[in-house]
Amino acid sequence: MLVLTRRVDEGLNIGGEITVRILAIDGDRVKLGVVAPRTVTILRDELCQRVRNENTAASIPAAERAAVARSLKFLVQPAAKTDGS
Amino acid sequence: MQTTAAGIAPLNGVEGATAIAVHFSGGLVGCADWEHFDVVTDAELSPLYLINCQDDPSIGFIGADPTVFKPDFCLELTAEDEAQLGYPEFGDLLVLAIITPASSLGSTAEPSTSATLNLLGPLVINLQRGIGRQVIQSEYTAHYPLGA
Repeated sequence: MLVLTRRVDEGLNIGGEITVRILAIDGDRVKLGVVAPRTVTILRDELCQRVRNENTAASIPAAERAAVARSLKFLVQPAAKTDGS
Repeated sequence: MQTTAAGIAPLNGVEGATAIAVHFSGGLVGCADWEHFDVVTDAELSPLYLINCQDDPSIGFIGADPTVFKPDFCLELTAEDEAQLGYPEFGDLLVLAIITPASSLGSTAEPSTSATLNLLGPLVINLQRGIGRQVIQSEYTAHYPLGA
């Protein structure tokens, strides 16, 4: 990991096309400005972490996968319930 | 491109196929080694899908069209998403949200009543090209309750 110290109004350039600038610092909050081509997706890292964790949590062993799917099928047939609540 | 997922062609709408090989270039989010999947359904499973990883057969998911559970689910693709997916026609897209079974959450609750749907990171598949991408939809939760 590259670690850099920057001040407000300074920035850094990544790969020529992406610029990250420090716009403001307020306590433990840092406001960043990112300039990047439209084709680059920029996401808050915690969202990526959340999806990664969920991918790992959602995996089902191969031997059980089809059986678990069958056991979940009632969830997609709410009409089968007699109780509408 | 902003569309609802409603009306997206089911897998078996493509020449009667019940299985399709899908390449996720770069893998799933945070799981770069999981690139190749078989997406499988049949009359018994539908509208659920088995999403079986070919790179690591121990890895696999159950997925469903998110609009089955959340009819107003709205998918938003970035320019990068569209490029990665080969600029698909709307009718070529299959959107699958991964179901997290309750047992995987370490919960002691009744397994099949507290399963959740990951709307934060659905899989979007171009059925014509056999390419897919896990896209992050920051407006949605990773734990949408099922069967509530």
